[in-house]
Amino acid sequence: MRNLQTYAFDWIAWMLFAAIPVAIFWQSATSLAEQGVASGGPMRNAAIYPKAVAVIMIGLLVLNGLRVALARVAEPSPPTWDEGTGKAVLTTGLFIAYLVALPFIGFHIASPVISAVLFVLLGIRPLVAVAGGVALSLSVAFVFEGLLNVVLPVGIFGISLFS
Amino acid sequence: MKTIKMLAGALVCATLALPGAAQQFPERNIENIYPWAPGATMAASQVIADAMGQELGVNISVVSTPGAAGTKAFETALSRPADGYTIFDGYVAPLVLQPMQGNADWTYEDFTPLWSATSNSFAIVVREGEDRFEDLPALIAYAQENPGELRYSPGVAGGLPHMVGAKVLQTSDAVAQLVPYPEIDVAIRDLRSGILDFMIINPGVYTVNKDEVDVLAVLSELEDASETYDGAPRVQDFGIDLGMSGLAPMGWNWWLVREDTPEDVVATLREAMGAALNDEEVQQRLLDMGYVPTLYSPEQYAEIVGPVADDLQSGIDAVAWEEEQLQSLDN
Amino acid sequence: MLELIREGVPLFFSAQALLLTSLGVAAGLVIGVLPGLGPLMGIVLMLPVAFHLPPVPAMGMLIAIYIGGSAGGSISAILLRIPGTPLAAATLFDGYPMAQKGRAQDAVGLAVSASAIGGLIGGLILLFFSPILADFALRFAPPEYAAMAILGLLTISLVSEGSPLKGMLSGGLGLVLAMVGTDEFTNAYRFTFGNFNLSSGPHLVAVVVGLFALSEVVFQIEGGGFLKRPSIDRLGISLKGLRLILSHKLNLLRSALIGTFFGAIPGAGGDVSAFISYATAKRLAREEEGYGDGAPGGVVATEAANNGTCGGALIPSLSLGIPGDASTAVLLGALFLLGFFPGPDLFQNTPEIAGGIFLAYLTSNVVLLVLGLLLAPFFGSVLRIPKAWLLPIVLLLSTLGTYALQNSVFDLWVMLVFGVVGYVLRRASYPLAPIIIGMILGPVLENNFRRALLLSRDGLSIFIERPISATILAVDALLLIAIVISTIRRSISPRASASDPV
Repeated sequence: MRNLQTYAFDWIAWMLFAAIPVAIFWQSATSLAEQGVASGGPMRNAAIYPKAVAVIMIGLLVLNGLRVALARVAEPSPPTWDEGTGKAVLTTGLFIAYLVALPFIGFHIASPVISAVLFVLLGIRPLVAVAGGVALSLSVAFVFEGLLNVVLPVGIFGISLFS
Repeated sequence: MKTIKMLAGALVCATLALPGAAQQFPERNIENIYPWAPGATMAASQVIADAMGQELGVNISVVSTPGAAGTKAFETALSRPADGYTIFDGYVAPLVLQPMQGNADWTYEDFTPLWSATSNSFAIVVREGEDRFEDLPALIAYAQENPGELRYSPGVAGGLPHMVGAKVLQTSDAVAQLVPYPEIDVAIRDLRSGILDFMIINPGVYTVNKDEVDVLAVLSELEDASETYDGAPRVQDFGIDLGMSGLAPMGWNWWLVREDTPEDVVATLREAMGAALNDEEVQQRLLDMGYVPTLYSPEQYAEIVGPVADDLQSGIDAVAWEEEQLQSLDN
Repeated sequence: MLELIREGVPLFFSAQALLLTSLGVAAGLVIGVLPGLGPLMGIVLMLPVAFHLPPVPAMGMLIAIYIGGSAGGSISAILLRIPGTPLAAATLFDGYPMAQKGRAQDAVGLAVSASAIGGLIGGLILLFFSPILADFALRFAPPEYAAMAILGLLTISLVSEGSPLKGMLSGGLGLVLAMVGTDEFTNAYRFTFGNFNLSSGPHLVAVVVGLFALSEVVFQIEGGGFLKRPSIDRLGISLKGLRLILSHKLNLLRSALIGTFFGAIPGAGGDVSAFISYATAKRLAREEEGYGDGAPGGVVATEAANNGTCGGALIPSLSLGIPGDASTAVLLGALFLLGFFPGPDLFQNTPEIAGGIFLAYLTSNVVLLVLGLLLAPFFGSVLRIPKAWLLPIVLLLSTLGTYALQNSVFDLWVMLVFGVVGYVLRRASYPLAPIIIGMILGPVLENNFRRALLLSRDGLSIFIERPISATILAVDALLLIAIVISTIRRSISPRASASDPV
């Protein structure tokens, strides 16, 4: 258990990588086989190369798993709770909310709001933060929408400012 | 207090830009969803988009959305509202070919057409100074005698150039080893270094690589097509029947919008696109790039696109025939 | 060589290209100065903007950021003892003591001049060697490209920070990400899980922004200290640095050459070359120069080397399409997405683009010299911007930039997912650069491998029958052996290797 704690992030990363060969073999046996491209020569077989990479990765994973289990890696990677970890988690949550809201309320509403909220979260006074959020959002929108002609998400209100 | 002023200013801007009920289409920039990676062909769409945007007084940006043989672009555009702000750059592959092969669940009748844009014909080329085959019949004779020995690339496997190439080989009962390349520009490199024996290319690539290749035959029956390859002979000039006619053996695109787009919006778009395409300067710029403006009006859509589908079936069959031949060679 | 330059002149010497190059250098300096944000981050943030520009100004801007960013880190190293980028880690050995002795101005002036001149020397070598290498690569065919792709993957795993085993796993992840989408040969959908947004795979830039920019934002927030303003010495405008550097001519030339050489080895990168060049200069110096105690020669050695590396890293990138380090991997990605193929074709078919890129590189270094000397006080004061302002700006720029690639909100989700992946991997000391290199080399490897088999009359023998391909594969085998040895050594005494420069 100590090992799991000391090398927590090593193990999380290990599991992340371990999911890849699993996904490759699973997809080769199902989706690729259904499409008829999981066997045959180099022209027809779209599964052989992914499988080869998967096999190599399994080998590497076994080796690396052993190293971590035997504490043979240079850096421990325990979970930590720093000064700003709470805020980092909160920022991630806010960003997810922003991505969900973006298509519905549009860039020109969502972006000043999230910028201002983040400024406040990081310790800037609310009034300054709101002004900063609006200014930031407007200036990047000016560059992308105005100068580069990107169509930003308009949302259900159909708002665009610089086009 | 500066901050408050800024804020107020921003709010005023925002309210001004809110859509009023009676405002005229278009009031903001329009997107053209283009189905391939950036390159010469995208530049042709950009030329039309710029001219059409000028007519409308907004900017039309061409957004490259490659993937799934062009259907990703269609899916993307279909997921947008039917308000005329999203135009499909309707290339033949996602519009006709992919649905025929069961890879997409729409037909060309599910869209409202604007104008047809351009067409580009394909050609069979060998490397510059090739001395084994002086013309197309010599190449075909060699391939007949030595089945599977010549290696050729039409770019992507199963694409339109591949179909037309396979069709020519099938009608003359010749077999060559297919070597696909996702980017035809890269295949030119291997043609040059002797890895490939011949290729099927398009005018955009030809224009860039004129010094590297010799054109054996243009794969179209149309007079214009020969001109984009500096007057090279057409397949039928050698007495070989292509088995495909009109737009079928060519790459072409027809700009479209969603079926449920309001009529007044469609009318505005059609008028602007028609004006843009009929501008001689625009036409010349397209021709210089190797793309022939086809100038079919929205009304001609069904009558032009319908027959193409039948002809393409023979191309699909040719590809299947080729695969069979190559497989029997392997065994 | 001169032809390339001549072809590039009309494209590069336009108001737009020159302006963007200057802006790029300035932006690069700012980003390099800010602790934690290196040249790679600068390129990543500006990448989406670049796609809306013509190719030469776009590449000019990105390369300028690369140059400016590689030099900017020295300013914070000298003033704060915090290297703005890992590249400048060796600069603080002598730069910071110089500042303590009241010679901050001289140290920054020397650092900027050495960077610019070192970069120019690297540029001349780039100009000379890359067309030769590209010419040689004309003989490459699918088997050679497949073997080269393996070479690139192995070297990046071997030399990037952390264990080569982890590097190879990261590279493997990159290869797998590149498989997602439509298979080029059969047009089958691979690993798309029925989602049409994935039919061309996750967008390279969305992955890069997530892995590097987003994970960095999270790290910075975790670090706390959002409103801190460090107190630093005021800098003035002075050209004295240029005069000072004249007494280090030999050191300057040697260090630039070391930097260029290590840059040209795929995967090595500027931090390695800066340390080696510093060690060399120190060994060759006389006792009384006082290395480690504020010797100007130390600053010259590291800065000339790490900017020389930029020129070196562009050599294999442009002429073979095999990136020299993570930044050039992203530059290559940009070139791909702009519709050009790095490698011999770039020189053959579009010499004006290759020439334009060379000119942009050389010009950037000249601009660096001018801006770095004139605006040093401004860049110094950038260090006083608190993180509370900086981080939301980076986040919004990343978001908007990624969205603008294909006007797609889906890409933003991809970016977010890779932000999380990047965070986890960095906590577990996995190098991230191999992921990007794997994503770029993945299709090169797979398609050329399958194509080689189609071309071959008898299976795999095509790889050994061709002399160039056989040679590259032999080098691959040697690298693999080196990786195995290094892994065994690290596993036997893990702590000893932890003290390697990171």
